[in-house]
Amino acid sequence: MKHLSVTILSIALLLSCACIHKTGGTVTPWERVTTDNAVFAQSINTVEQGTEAAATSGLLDKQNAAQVLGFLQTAANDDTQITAILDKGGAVTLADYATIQVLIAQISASGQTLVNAGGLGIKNPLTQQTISQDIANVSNLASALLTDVQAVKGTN
Amino acid sequence: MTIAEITALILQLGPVALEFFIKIESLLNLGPDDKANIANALAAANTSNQDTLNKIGAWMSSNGFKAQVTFVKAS
Repeated sequence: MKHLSVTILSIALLLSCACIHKTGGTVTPWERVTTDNAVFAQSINTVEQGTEAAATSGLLDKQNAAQVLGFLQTAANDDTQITAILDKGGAVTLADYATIQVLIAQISASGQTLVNAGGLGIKNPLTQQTISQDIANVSNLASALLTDVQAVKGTN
Repeated sequence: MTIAEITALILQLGPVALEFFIKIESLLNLGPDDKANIANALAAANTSNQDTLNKIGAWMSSNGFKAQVTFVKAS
């Protein structure tokens, strides 16, 4: 496999931070936060598929795969709640923003715990980086999403 | 992104990553209607999350692990 200087989730992070293109207008803060949220959800989905593929091929043992999938399940559940909050649009309250902050902190903390536990240095065949790096990048994407949310909060 | 940049990425990442890349590119290209863009992004996130949860549930179940569904609806 080719050596990669840029990994796929890093690309997602870079693209979502800088490269949202809009036909005939400026990207609004709400468009940015909902688009980045969609990128975040798709990234979780891709890491999940790669984790399953790694487990199926025997690269990743099932116990470790179950732990990674448990983390991704938490992330997808949390993002489902974040998406439901974002769907409120202008009716989002300060309490909702606080909830989003807690959910994203939960994703980051769970990811860090999992990475610290070790045993995830094998390569995810879909993202071409290690499972540890995938988890770290999911956490980074969550942090980027929080930055967007804070920008939107400033406009409400 | 330019064609040259996209080509360079494809060569670097290989075809296995192309589907993901195309999906991300699709998400990042917005039309002129703000409300439609927001609605589409929210729908895409929900679709991805539901697919992720379904796949995890199926894998856990078929591999003898207890499904850890802990969804708590935000207040």
